[in-house]
Amino acid sequence: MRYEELGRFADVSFLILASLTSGPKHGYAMMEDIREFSGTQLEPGTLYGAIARLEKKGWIEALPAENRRRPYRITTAGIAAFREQVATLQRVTTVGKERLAIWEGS
Amino acid sequence: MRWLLRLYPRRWRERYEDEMLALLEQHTVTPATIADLLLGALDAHLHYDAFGEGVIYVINRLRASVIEVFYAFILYGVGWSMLQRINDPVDTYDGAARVHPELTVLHDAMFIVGCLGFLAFLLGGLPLFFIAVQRAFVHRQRNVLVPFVVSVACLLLFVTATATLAAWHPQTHVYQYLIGYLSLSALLLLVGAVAVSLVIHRAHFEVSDLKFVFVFVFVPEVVIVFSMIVSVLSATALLILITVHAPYLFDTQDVGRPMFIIGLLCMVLSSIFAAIELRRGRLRRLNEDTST
Repeated sequence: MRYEELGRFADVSFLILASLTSGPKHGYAMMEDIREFSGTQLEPGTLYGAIARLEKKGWIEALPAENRRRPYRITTAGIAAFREQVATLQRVTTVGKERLAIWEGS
Repeated sequence: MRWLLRLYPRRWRERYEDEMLALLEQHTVTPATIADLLLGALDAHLHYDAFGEGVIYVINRLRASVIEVFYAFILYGVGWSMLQRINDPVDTYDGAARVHPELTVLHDAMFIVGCLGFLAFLLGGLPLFFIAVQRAFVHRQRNVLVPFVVSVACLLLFVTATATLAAWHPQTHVYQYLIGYLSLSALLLLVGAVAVSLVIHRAHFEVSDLKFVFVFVFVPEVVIVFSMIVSVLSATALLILITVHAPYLFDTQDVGRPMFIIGLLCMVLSSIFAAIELRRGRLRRLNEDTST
């Protein structure tokens, strides 16, 4: 399964991968982290829809539960997918900046 | 919030319910949270499959899907049958159809796709039923053989009752007999449908059956659902055209407007239900998942 097959969960999945790259986290910690670094307030239904997909793809994996809260960590395949997505975003950002500069200079 | 999580599929809850509850205890619940959980439950029903969670689960899910499509088709068949007598008496209907030939086209389309669906239903259902009964004989599964005998008895009784009525063929309608026949048919249909579903539900299927099921059950199921949807569209168009161009048909024909609408509603509901079940029971990535 490719990244784009995540459908409407693609953006959320990207945020989750970004969050887990800094270390394992459980659901609530992920939501808080994502809210802090991106300003996006995820809701539980959306978060777990994306977690289920990422887990199934093998990009994240569950760790043993701690008091009902189960932490997740990013896998090697998840890091590779995340790296690819970051590279794509960087290209988009670069092009965006160039075009903005042209537009502002004209 | 636990009641909202109950809307999620059972397998989903087994896997995520505890941690989601723990998260919800820390999270500020707003109307957006509730709406998000409702959408999440719908998404989980439509997309969450547990191929990685074991072949037994896959078989059970397929089994449930087959049974539910079967029930949906029975309900569809009831609605479809109710609409068929819209062209009786023939003279009045033909008079309207000569002016508006599209009535005949739509009625024929509804009839043909209905028959196509029934053919697919037989092609898909009979082999599966045969496997279930054959395994039951081999394993001496009494709890499968008993409903099998009941289903065959229902079929024989229905054939006998229909043949008797056809052979008798009274010149005038004797409503007591007609109502008796219809009631008996409805009862036999109900008992027979439950018996057949019990056979499939209790049957012993094996992993090797999955590929067979994919070709001989999933493909006919697609044809069935396609036929159901096309006939619903045809029936809806027919209802609109009759209402606009020949509303008197609802007074002169055997099928009045209320009966037509009830029949159409049965077809619509069963088609929606069958489409959902077909999606739920699909065998995506069967080869790699069952080979592991």
